[in-house]
Amino acid sequence: MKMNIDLLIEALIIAIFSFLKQQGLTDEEARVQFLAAVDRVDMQKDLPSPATQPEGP
Amino acid sequence: MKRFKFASGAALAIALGAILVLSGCAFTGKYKQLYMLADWVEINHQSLQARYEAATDEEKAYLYQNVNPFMNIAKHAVVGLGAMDREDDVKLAAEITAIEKEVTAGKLDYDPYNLIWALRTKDYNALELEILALKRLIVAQLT
Repeated sequence: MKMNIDLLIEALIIAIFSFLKQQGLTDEEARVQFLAAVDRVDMQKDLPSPATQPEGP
Repeated sequence: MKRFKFASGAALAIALGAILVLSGCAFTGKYKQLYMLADWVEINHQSLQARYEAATDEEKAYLYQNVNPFMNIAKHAVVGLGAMDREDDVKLAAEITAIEKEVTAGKLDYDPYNLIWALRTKDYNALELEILALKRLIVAQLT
């Protein structure tokens, strides 16, 4: 239950923060920010493959 | 189950976030909408990474096989969105190929037709909706 609430708060903060960040920008400023965010997404590394479990005897 | 007890909370939060994004779309300019979308994918990918690093081996295997491919597709879609805006057709084609590879490699139960069609036809509105649909899919994989 605590995990639920933690995640709810975390995801809500992300959504509200994301919403507020673009407020007050002109559309041209938003374009610059959008393309910068796209480049950051492009640079994000994929998740590393999980460690393979050793096989049992 | 304990592993993904958070799913209902996350689903609610993502739904509320989607409402915020969509309501934002109703009264903001085109690039503000796109910025919110790209920002959201970026932050949620970071969140998945943090969750992955803290996960047990079993959880890691699940996240890697069932959530990561959809997150990768969402990332390629957002990068494709940027390529569309920059009129970089080479990059756009590369992102479409990457999406196709991701679907094939992950043997996913996901039909990328609408997403790829939106990228090929450079339909911003359809692409936004497809990315939002991908987010819902990611949440579904967590439940």
